[in-house]
Amino acid sequence: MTANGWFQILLFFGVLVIITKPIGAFLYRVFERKPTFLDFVLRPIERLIYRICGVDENKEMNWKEYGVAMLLFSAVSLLLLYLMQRAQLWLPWNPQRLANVAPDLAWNTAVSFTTNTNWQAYSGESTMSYFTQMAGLAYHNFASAAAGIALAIALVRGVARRESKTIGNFWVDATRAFLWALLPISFVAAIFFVSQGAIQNLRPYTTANVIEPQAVETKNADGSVKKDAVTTQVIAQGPVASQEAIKMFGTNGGGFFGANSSHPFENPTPFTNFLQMLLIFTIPSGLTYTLGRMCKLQRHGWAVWSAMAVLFLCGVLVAYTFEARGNPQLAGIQTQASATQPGGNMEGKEVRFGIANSALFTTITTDASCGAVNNQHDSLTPLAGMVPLVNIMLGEVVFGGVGAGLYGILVFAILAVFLAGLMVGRTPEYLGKKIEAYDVKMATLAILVTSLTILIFSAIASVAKFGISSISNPGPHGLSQILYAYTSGVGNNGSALGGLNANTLWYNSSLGVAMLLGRFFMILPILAIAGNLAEKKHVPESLGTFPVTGPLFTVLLISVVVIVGALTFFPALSLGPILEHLLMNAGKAF
Amino acid sequence: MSDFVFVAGTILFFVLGIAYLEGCERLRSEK
Repeated sequence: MTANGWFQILLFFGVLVIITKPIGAFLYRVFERKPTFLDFVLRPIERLIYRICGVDENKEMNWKEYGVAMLLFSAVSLLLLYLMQRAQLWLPWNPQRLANVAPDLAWNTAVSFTTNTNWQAYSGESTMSYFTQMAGLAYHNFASAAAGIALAIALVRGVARRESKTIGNFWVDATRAFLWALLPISFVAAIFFVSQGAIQNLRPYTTANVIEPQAVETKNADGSVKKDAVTTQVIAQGPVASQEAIKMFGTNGGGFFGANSSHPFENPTPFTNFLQMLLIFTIPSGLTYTLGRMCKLQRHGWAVWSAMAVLFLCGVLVAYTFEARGNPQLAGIQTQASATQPGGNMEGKEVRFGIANSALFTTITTDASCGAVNNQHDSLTPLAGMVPLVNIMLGEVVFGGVGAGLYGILVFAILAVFLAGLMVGRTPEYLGKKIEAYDVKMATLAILVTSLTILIFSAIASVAKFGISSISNPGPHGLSQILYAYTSGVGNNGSALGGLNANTLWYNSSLGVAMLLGRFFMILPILAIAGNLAEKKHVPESLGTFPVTGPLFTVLLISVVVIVGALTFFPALSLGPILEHLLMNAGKAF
Repeated sequence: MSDFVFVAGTILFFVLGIAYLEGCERLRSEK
């Protein structure tokens, strides 16, 4: 580890602290329909959208109506994206004449982008036309993020309101999230990315002459060796910068190119890298402030933020430590950082980012449900590779996805006050609402659905031939590849350890189902909690009320998140990355 | 054929989603 590395990590954290309040206060004004400086431009557009779509912006919904609207919106968007991929050869903006996407891959991708997962079993530059990238994938980057923010706001309303049947209007919340939050900053960020060298065009791919022609040997079917001279290289083009901005800001993570944010056209400089990381955490961090503001208990918002911050810093510390330490089997190799050597484990990393910014990016992208990568997670040392896996397993509540992080951590907050209530023998309360059996059942259901889906699918894929045959690296690392794939799918993260051939009928189908269950079967119980809490009377704070504003609550919240995650997944982790780490130290690498 | 399976499967999932939502509501009214 270097002082420079820590300086960059702490600089990132400092900037995050600074932007949390202004972003959170702005989101509060947007969703409470208070005047903002963007109203003069966006309000007429908003009204036009409602008029075209027939939405009554003053009509609120109960939790069931809210849930059905979200389901229908997602179902229609999913099917449209599926059809778009299946027909892209006949649609415009396909200068490379890329073929229609195969049914299983198209379905997997449609589910993936609808659920904000952005798991990609393909490379964008060789599979998706510009039209599919822009009208299909980028559209979903906005739509799924807006839906996530809307759902978080609905849950906060459920907590904040008293004796109310309604929790807002899904169409209004999603539209305002899109217009006020996602669109303006994505626009500005895209221009910044272009200024740094990210590309933005609709040109056919460029064929360039290579400076040093290469001789490549391939084996024919009869075993004879064929020699080819490679003198040209195809350089992919496309509308990258515009997609890159919302990819990060909406915590989507699906790259224009297969290499994602490692690709110099997506993430050209350390400045773009810094902004990409910051964009991921901007809304999730700001929403904790919005929570405090809407509940009229700002210190609660900061208590939740603190829990997230502690878990985030722990993740970075572990990832950076083990990456900087490198692989002990590389005896005789300089593993200490120096003026000329980065030291540590540089395998799978971009030189322009180095170890600190790779470890930081990896932690951030999996704390949130982003899933973009600027380095190869398959090349991380075992325990550093366990960090992203654990982050997703904990429910991506460490700032988390846009909206998803907040509603995820609030589920844990409900469990935390429930446990505190059990300890002192009182009916638990959360922000003036009694937490009863139904709320705890729904919170438990939301957590169980995701954990069970991950473990069941991973177990099947780990023993069945159709699952094992996709592993590139048998042994504990192979189990990690499978476990990571389903954890990432169910957690709607979308990053991959890599090395697993996921473009098969089994993985495309099963991961699609896993993503759907992880998104919608978790959201619906949470909406039910929102509806139930909204109807409750406010209970005045008393001496027996467990305070949710101080360090005690923060520590309890962290403990619940860690214990639930550890108890559920520790056996699987011990057979994967932990065993791999022990074997690596014993001299066996995978 | 594959298209039919995936489209029908998607619709079935969202129908199940609405049934799941109803189940959550029923559990609430029974509390």
